[in-house]
Amino acid sequence: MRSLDGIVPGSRAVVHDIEAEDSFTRSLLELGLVPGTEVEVVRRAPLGDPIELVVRGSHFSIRRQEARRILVKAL
Amino acid sequence: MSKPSERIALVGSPNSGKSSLFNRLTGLRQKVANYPGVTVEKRAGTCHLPSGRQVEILDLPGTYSLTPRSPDEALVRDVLEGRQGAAAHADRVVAVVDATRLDRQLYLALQILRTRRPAMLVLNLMDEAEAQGIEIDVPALERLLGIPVLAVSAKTGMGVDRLRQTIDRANGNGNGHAASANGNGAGADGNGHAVEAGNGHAAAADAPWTELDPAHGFREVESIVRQVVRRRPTEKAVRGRLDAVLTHRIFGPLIFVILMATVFQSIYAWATPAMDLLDAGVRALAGLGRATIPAGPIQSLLVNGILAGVGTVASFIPQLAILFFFIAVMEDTGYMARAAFLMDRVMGSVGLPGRAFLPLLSSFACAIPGIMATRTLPSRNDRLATILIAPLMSCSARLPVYALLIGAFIPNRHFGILSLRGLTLLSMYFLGILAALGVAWVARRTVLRGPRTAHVLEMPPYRVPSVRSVFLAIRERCLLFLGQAGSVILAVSIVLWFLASYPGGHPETKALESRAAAAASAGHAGDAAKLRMEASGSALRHSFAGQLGHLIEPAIAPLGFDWKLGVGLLSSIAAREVMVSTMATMNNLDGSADPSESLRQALPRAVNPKTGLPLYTPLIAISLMVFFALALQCMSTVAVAKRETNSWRWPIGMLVMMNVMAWVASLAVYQGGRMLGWG
Repeated sequence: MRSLDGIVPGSRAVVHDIEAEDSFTRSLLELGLVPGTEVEVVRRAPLGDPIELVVRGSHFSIRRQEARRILVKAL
Repeated sequence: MSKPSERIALVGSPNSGKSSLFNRLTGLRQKVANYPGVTVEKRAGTCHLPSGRQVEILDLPGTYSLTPRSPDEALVRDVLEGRQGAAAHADRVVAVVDATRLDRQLYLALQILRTRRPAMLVLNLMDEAEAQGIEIDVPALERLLGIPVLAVSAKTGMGVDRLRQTIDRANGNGNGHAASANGNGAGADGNGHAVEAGNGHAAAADAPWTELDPAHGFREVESIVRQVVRRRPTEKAVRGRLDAVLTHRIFGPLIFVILMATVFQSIYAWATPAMDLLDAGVRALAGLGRATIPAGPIQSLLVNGILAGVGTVASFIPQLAILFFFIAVMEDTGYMARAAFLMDRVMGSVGLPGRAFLPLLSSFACAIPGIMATRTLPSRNDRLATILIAPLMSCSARLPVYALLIGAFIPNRHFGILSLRGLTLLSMYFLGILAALGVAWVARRTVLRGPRTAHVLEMPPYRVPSVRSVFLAIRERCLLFLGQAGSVILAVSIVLWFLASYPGGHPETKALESRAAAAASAGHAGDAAKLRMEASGSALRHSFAGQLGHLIEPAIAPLGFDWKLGVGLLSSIAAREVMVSTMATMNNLDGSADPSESLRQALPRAVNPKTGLPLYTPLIAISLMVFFALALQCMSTVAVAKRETNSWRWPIGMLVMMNVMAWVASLAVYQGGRMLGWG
């Protein structure tokens, strides 16, 4: 188990859990990052932060600090 | 025209093409206002139905869910729950989703179904879905959800007529599909697959309705998508290739810098011909006014008060139009999200999101379009922080003032390739930026406290922008500015005109005027012009504005400013560059031709009548420039901040903060400089 931040760009992972319970957690869940969802890390921004994800066919950018709260299983 | 018989709310995620659909349905019949008490904009328009009936369409802000996290999202929920009152209730809901991304966007549709409001679903961007090999079984989706489902492309217009017919048919009488959202739809689908979210008794079991569990909801979405969507494999290469360049480690920032330079250059320079044209038009009207209306208070009010105000308002339109052209194109193509992606880290160092870059850059040309561009920031705190610091970017109206003072007081010395004058100008820009960083830092820890907004920004697919929506976006912003900020600017212009023109009739002014008239009738045109100039200088010095200058002199004397500069500062409320022509008039110079040139020579020669020493020194000039760099003098900025924050609290707070900051900084420069013996 590791955080989404630790996933190498270009590879995939499956969401396991999101740390901490707050409104931000809910917003991640409502974007479709529910446990069991497959996520692809596409790339990092030129300065290393944020990172680009594909979730359920949509691309999102998320800051690494927030990606650290998403626990995943690497595929 | 009959009144719209009912109101229909469009609800959808950002990038679902909801606004293009709104434009399709309403055309030019749209209005923008603020919802009472919040900063959210209310966009509404009228749609004509085939039966001849009209309905009002409400374009609600884009949202990913009905769980409110921002004022925009809270508003969507309030409207759906009928909490906004009569001002914004909705009789029916049209849920808009991007047909190419049902996997994600159907979730919001399920939440909307849960509200048990009469609803229908629009699968927008159907043309794109077809091009991508995505087939959607619409009748099956209708059966599963129990509401009408329409395949539409707002871009090509496909299916829009059918949408109008469906809205027309489902009118108020509660028949057919619309009513089935109450719960009988899912039961009637015949294949035994009850849709939990749309199902009446399921929703009733765990009220309140909005608490659709995301894990549950997305399982539901997956199940629906499995049943209704067929994908033919196609390559989705365009996006990948574009992103590989536009977010590339080297090319990405490079392209970004070139684009931003283009935007900046265009609002800074390309708007000038249009502004000059408008200015010439206003001057022509003023000339016409002087020629046709007899001289007197009415002529003066119309020409120097109202027309001058109209000219100020109009002069912003070219810049606004150009900036909003670029914003609309960048938003519609999807580039804005990439720009935010690139800049997020940089802007994050002062607690602002990447998207704040463009409004701040625009503010170097003018804070008015800059502040209006903050609308692209989704979070309230980010928007307010950006509005707060936008006026600290040295705008183009400060440039004439800097140019005058630098030309008059800073020696033309060079250090290698660097000129002292250039460095002085540059340091004024840096001063503004540094102050902005400081203010943002402090604001983030005090009035706008809270963690930097968690950002999960969608990076939408690249799309070709439609001429129609770009045009409508520009038109909307310009009309908003004219209607709401324009009225404040006009009112303040009239007040300023009054202060500069009354009480009038001072003996000195009258004597000069009669001498000018005498010289003119004697045929001494040169003397007459000079005396008229002295008369208008005298009139201004003895006006209420002149008296106010004396009144505020004790407050500005510690900064090195005399009462004449005080009058100049007061006049810069109209626009900062007005300072230059006012100073010319105050010093009996011709303020109409090129005031800067004659002032440049006159100012260093001005002598204090009491002490016999120079009235203005290089130190005073620097103190004054620092004041201009930091002070909020511009009424148009205040008016726009009022309109964009929908309250007087923020603009008044900005006025106090920036002017106190400017005063303290100028005080430090002047008194510190004096202590060091610089003047």
